[in-house]
Amino acid sequence: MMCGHEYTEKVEKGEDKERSCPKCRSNSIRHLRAGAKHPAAPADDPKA
Amino acid sequence: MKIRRKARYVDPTLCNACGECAKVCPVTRPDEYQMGLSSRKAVYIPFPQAVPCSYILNMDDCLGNNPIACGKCVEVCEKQAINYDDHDRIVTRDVGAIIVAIGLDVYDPTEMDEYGYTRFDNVITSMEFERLICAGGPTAGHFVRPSDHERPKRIGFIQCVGSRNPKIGRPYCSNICCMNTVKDTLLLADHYPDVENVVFYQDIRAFGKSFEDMFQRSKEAGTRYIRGLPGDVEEDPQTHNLSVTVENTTSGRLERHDLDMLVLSVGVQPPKDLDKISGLLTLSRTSDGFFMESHPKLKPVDAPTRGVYFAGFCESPKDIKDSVCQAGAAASRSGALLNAGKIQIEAITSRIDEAACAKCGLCAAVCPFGAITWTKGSAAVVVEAACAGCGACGATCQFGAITMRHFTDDQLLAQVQATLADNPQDKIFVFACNWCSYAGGDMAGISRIQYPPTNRVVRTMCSARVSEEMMLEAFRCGAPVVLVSGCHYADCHYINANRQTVQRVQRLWDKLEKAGVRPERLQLEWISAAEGQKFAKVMRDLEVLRKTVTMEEIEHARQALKPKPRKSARKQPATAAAT
Repeated sequence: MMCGHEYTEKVEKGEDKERSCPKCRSNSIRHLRAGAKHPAAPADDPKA
Repeated sequence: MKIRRKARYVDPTLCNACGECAKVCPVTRPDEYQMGLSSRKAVYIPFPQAVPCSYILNMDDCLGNNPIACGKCVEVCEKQAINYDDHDRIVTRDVGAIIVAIGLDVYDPTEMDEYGYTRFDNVITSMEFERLICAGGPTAGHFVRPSDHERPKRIGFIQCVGSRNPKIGRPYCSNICCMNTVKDTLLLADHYPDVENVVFYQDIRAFGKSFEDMFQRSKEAGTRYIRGLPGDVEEDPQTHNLSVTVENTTSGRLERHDLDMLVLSVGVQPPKDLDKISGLLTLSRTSDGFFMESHPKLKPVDAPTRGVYFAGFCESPKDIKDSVCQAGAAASRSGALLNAGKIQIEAITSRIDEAACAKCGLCAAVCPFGAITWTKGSAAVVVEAACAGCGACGATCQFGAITMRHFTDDQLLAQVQATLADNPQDKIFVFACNWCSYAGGDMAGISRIQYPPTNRVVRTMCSARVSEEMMLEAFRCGAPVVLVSGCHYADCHYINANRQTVQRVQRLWDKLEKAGVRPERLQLEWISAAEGQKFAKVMRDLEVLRKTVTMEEIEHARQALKPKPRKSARKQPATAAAT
């Protein structure tokens, strides 16, 4: 989250495992809803 | 504590182990102790060193006392020790401590068909090897191969069968197999100097006292160690000799080894009754399936349930020496508990206000120590002797019915408000757990690691103590960034209370998003007591994030996250509502 990296590893619901972002090592990994854009990620659409 | 004492059907006080009963018993079954390599009767001594040294009758195998069917053992027993009417007895005992030492199960290599355990007679497991080489075994210590009862000349050992293999769901090292194989090769070299031993391994873990010396002696005795696990085993149908194909990763060549016999060095696994014991004593398990200790460094013998201690394999794979050490420690710990005559409990425990309790049982569900008892329709009750004071229940209760001694909601909220009273926009608000993150901050300090001085830390015993209300209050008070920080997953001082933190923060991220507040303003990090560097790095990163938060955003969060009227467990009387 902090670095804007989109975590793509499959996460099974209810699994008990500590995860960290491969880019910034942060543990603050949040599930993004389908279609949701991460605020820190660079915008693809210049109008967005 | 109720103990089931299983029926033996032979009175041990009368039986003198003469063995006449076994001589006349017509039933023959594979001997479990000899790994099925020899047979036993329905009435038998489980193993030569069994205490008490008396026979037992296996009723599942026995033909019964019907004279037409059998009853021969009763006829020949001069002592009249056999009693078909024996039955299981329930014994009740008052105990002050319980030591769990239920041992292990050995991995069944049937599923790893590439090694041909079920197809080839001369592929055996290390446990079967143990019986064959043992003087008390089925061959009286004469090592022969099962197919033709000839002595093998070339013997291979394959390591890590059922260990360190995530593909079959066993990623852990079984700890004992390497040295067991080293011992086996030395035994073979001692008994039969002309035998050629080849060990196929991926790593030899000889880390104990004198283990490396033993490994070197095995090599000096002529055992070849080849780094690489075989991919295939074939059998010559005529001779029943085996051919093993392996990539020698040291030389980088594909090699073929002709062997007379192959020993699979099988791993170990948690015993099958672990679930049952786990339920009886409210114990949790690690991802490997073994019992989880209270703390890996500070309480390696204690179970999370007070008065329960672990010894041996059920806690983690370990060799005899470590098992004996742990058993000694468990005995000492339980002895200290019993001799004290009283127990010391935590001063920081939770207290439930019965009148405010909504009887929902959520607190009982989240308590990692099983210290809250709750039955449907009644208020929850805290067993103070079992409560460790993590505060997970207090943070979960939506009705304000639970108060944590010394870390009350009011105290923590007052700290939040006082910390953010002046210039909150310049501050990063941090909730740090007592055992890891707070100590990590101390470590950063004593290590003279530089980081921005904008953070303000409030200590809680566990990150699970930080309720949603506390995090929201920090935003309401104008905090641009809030960090909740705790121990890493395996290190939580309160078993797994920090999983509650994760769930709570994840729920709050969704709420913040809905309220139009950037969710990344709430951060969650695991920082251990040794990670001063990480603490400083997180603070530097958060400072960058803090600078991106505008005054408008802070004001929006204040308005959007305004408190709603607190839920109450008690419905307001109609008359009161009317007035």
